[in-house]
Amino acid sequence: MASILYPQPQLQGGTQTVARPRHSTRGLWSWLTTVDHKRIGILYGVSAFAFFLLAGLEALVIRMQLVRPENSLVGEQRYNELFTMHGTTMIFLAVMPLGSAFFNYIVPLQLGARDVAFPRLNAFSFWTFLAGGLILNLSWLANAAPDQGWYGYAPLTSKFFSPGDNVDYWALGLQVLGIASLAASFNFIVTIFNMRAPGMTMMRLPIFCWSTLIVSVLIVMAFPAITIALALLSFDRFTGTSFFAAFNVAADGAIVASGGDPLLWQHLFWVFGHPEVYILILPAFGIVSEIIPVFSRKPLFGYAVMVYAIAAIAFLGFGVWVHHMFTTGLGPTPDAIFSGSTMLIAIPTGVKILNWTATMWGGSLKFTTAMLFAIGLVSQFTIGGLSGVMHAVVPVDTHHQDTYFVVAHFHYVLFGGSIFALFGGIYYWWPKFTGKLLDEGLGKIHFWIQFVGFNLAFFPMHFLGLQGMPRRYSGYGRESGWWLWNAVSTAGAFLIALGILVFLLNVARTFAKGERAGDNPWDAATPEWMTSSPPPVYNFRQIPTISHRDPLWVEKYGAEAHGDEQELDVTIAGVTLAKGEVPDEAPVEQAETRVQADDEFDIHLPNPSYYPLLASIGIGMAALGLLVANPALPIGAIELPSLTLAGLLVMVTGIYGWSFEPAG
Amino acid sequence: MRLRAPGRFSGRSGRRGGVARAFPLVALLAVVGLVLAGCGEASPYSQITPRTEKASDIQWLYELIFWLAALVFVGVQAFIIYTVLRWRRRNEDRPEQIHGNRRLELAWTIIPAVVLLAIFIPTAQVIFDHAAAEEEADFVVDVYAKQWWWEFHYPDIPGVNEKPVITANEVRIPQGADVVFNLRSNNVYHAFYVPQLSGKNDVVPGHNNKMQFVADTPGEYFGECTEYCGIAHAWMRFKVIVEPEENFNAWVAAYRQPPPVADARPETADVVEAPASFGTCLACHNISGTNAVAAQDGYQANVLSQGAAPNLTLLGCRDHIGAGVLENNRDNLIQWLKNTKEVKSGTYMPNYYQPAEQGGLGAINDQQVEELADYLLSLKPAGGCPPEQPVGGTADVSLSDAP
Repeated sequence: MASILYPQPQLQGGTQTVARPRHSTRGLWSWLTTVDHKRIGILYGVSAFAFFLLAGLEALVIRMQLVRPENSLVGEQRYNELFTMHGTTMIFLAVMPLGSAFFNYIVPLQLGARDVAFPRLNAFSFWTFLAGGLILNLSWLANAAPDQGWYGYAPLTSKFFSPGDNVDYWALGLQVLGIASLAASFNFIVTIFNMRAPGMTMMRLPIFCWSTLIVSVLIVMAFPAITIALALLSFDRFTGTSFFAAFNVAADGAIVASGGDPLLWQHLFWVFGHPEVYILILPAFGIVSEIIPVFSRKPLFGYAVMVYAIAAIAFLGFGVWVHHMFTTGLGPTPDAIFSGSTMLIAIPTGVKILNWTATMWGGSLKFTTAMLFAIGLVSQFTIGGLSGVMHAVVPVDTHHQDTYFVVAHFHYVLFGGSIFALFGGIYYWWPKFTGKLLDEGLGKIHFWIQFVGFNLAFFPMHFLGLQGMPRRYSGYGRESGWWLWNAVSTAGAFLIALGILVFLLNVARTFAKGERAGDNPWDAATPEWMTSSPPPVYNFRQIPTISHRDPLWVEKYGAEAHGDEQELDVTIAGVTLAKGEVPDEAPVEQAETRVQADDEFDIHLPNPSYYPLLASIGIGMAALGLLVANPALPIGAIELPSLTLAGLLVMVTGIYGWSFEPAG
Repeated sequence: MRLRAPGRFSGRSGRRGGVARAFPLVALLAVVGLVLAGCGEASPYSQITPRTEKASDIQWLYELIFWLAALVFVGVQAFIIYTVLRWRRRNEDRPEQIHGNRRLELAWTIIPAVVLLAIFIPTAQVIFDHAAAEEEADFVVDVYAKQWWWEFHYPDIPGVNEKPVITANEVRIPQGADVVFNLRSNNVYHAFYVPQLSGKNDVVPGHNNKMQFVADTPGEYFGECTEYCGIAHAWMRFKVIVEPEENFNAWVAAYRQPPPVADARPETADVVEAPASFGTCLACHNISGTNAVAAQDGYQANVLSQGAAPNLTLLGCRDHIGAGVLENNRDNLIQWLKNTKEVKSGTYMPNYYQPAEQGGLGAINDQQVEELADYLLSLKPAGGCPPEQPVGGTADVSLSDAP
């Protein structure tokens, strides 16, 4: 029952459609030219984890500086660089790309697809991400690390107040990262709409794919705002415009109004910045929604409502940015409106927390490390959610804003939420990635050390906030009374570091002598477990046909035992999202054939290509040319940096070659 | 249909004893109790020891939302912990496959909405009340936030030389005044925050934000910059000193007296003459009553030109120098003059003491540094400084009894 929506695989009797050369899977060159979503996922994961460790070390230095009053471990300038880079790195180079690692590896498998829609664009996204990350961190070598805060409020970022290159490394690094994020997001939107296996309707989509889809839409809609803001900032800095400066200094030293407004930056930044928070947390929600049902042996409670909740959070996320600006004096009416809209977000978030718990209710819970991390999110995120509601109460927020109370809040959201879930995802999908199981004993030690360390590090920050300690203070005096909880927090931070070390030990041990996992070690239900672990390069020998949300459970335990999946008929603009046609093929018949890798069986896959890498190198060179000393090339009256011109040439060459590269 | 089987939710009873199950709950309550049990109080910057009506309004809202949040927290954590303990895997049987429960999901959509509405209504009330109060205040103080210190003008109180009373980093308010601070900056963002008196307001370049409160309780209140403003953000502290009106008036009267420059003031035991080297300071600093007013203030003062520096009138009565970086005493003044940039990173004040090869100007020697310190400390009212007020105000003064 083939249709346009669900194309059937053309695989009768093992005949091949298009021949393709063998992919090399060894050596550096194979990694540089890979377009395989699984290998790109691994590249994302490894580099993002390296950045995670770097940002974690930065956090440890910050905590060491604050361990006692009047400490002078690092100077003010270095401290300001550290907190700026800790935030920027964690957000853009660790948590976002760790999410991308899972998108890349897992989503095509969950869709029952052979790859993403645009495999070379996928490679381009990764290499451009890496270029952006390297540019940001090269600033350390130039002794010009960004020092204006991850949110870079104008006019502190102006050439007048920040004459060094610090802000430029940040602005250009983020621009490059933005290109990577946008390219990846378009790719995943197209992939999820078009590459689903036959029978996989939108309401049978594994919930992690839903969160990927919605996060991708968020990125596509939110990133243009920061792209514009950073472009205007660069104009202010390089060409002397004053979009964000209220005042200029005239030649005689007089202060003159310049017509710009620093509040404009805040609006543009937070129109991006608040959705960004959901870009960081929604993948985590998706991961937890996959883990909890598997280890509860029960389907996700209220699948449809969980999907709507993600969508509602994302939608509302665009209408709350002013809650980052309650103290900027916008006036009582906007304050009240955005207070209300911010409170609304608590509703879908609360539904998710309760639905996860209801999924466990009546289940048969197995406390694997992945499950512990997932339950950890449900419990710890609640704390961050509740303090979030406190911040919606504007008068109270005028106290909490920019104090450690807020620092506590968003670490409960981003560490207790995102990082816990990402570790859960690593433990859960590790056998899918490597075919081996991470050690459960070490895993549980890791979880409990990290859980205790996390609460020790971040719960006292609520107290510090109530004691009035502002964020971004490089030091404090004895009169402040902030010593005790800072010291406790620092101890907690080192406990977290110990937990991470246990994790690294676990990974090393698993590589050395890990237990073979088998194809579906957790008795999971979703399509990524329908193939071998790790999967062959083509993912599925035969594309599976999907008749249920939890196809493997239906296959194993029978449709009757599985029960009614509560499919709702939802029709939007004439397209029925929910009840899809159930294809004629029964999924059970495929169980044997689809997991057997068969070397004789040739499947069309795209060729490896170095053009995406070339294009990314070009973009990186173009950005670097504006940052590092390089010969100026006079073109007419303007002098252009030669490295930038060369970079643009390389980029165009890469895109040109890519466009005309013959199909495999 | 299985999915509509709410009976399943009431479930069978667990096997573990009540005490063992109650323990996590007790522990949770203990943690929650800790928050209000003084963890946030032991600081002069405490957000939860209000000393004005305005701050008390906010505290009331905070306690409302705190206890509601604590209730939800305990409820949800209890639900999670109970679920986790109760439904541990005990055998390999497959549990009943429940896909959802519409009624339940609807309930936990609607109930939070109602609770949030109950929070939103008083929130909006307080937002509008506080905005309206800004319009009524009549004691005006103009605040100019600098990198990294605070300049205060009393536009309605004449000082000398046709200028209002201008001071820096320690601002005095007569008790009972309905005060409004006009917050201005010609440089970067700052935020004006005195936790015990009010929530914070950002100082936005090009905008004029206002902060209002009625200063009911005498006391010294610690303030801090809470919007990151560059390298010395952590050292941009200030004080609001609320004192009885007669003390305030005495201070203003002293402010109008000429400072102890030669022939300008009768000699007293603890007053020294301005040393010649002080002339250099007057390029950027002002002292009211001298004819050597060169520096500009307010908006006109540019961080990179003259007038970037705090007004030094009656400096001897200030508790701190460098916007909170050091206590104000002879040793520390000497240290400041000798190691300006080391004491406060980023400060725009040049080092006049160190030789050029160390980055200074080499303009003054050890003896001159000591003379300057002695002179600066002597800048006090003839009758002595106003009496000290208790740090953090007196807790036992009832707000409604305040004049």
